[in-house]
Amino acid sequence: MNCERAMNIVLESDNGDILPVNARLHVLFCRSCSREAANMKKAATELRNTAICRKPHGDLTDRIMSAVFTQEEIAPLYSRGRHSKPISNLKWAAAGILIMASFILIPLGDAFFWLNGSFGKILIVPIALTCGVILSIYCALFIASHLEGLAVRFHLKHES
Amino acid sequence: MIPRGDAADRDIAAADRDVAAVDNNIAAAVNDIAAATGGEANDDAKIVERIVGGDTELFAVLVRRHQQAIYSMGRSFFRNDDDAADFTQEVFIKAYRSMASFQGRSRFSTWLFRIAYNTAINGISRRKEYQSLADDAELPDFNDPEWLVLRSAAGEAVREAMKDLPERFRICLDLFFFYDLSYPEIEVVTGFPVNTIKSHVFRAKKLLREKLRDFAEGDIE
Repeated sequence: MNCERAMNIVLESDNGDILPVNARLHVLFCRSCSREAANMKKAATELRNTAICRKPHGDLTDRIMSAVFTQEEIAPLYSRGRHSKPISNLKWAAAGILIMASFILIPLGDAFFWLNGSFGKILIVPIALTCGVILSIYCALFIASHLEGLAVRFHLKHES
Repeated sequence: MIPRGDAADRDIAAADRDVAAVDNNIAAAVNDIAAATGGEANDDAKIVERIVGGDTELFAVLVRRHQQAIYSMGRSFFRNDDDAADFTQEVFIKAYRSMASFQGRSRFSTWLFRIAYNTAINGISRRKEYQSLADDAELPDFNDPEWLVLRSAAGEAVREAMKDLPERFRICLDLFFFYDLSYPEIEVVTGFPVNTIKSHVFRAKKLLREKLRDFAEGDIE
């Protein structure tokens, strides 16, 4: 690995990243890269220290705490948000598997053979409609109860 | 001097005792959390859990821990002390109100920065351009000339990188260099794509590398 490539890896690295082994070895043994990387690290530390130089005039804790607790509309935290116990993902998965299994098993049941014998192929339409409705209800409930998580997962919203 | 009666003195003494008791409770709770998390006193998520569970006084610990960073961000957006202090208060009130929605998927500080960023960009009193920490004139002076060189080089590199950036992206560099956030955390805070953030930071780092070469030919020990 040449110096330029190693330094590019250093420059591309994120805060707190560990460099790939080959880049680390290069930086370790190449004198100029080692010096440059060390200086950049020191500069980064120096910049981070800068952020703590802007201080409010005095501690704002008391002011903030009294403002927080005198807001009348604030209900006690423990009475908010945590009341409804969510259905666990395991239960959702079990319900989904049960629904899918029943769809698969429908054509194998005696009732289906009897109905098929009585009504013929036209039976497929109401069965398919019923399955579709059940599946839609399941999906709608799942999405509604996981709205926040899905929005975050598909980058439609950031975690709040 | 205004003369005070015995009753008033007793009230004040009682109030002092109450405050001391609350402080002791907070200290004890923080120690409990530290013990429960293997000595990690700064485990904000555990503190949030306790607050949501009813230990609302513990919110003071989070305020003490993060007020400076939020205030600093407020200064960048509002560029005066009073507005920055009001902004800090507003951010913490919002954070307290929505504390139950903190799911611990990101660091508490990232979550708080997200609230702060949204509050700042929607702030009605905000009229001025974002001022990076790199532009701050009130940085402390170090007597050590080598540190001074390093700080000048670093500050100048970030300033130069900021200069060519549209205003809305400037905060990305501040969050990376000054507040020590990672690329994904900056994405969470600002909503900008990671690749955009990476490219801006990469450019700034390249400038920093050049500046460090220019400023210090030899070692900076």
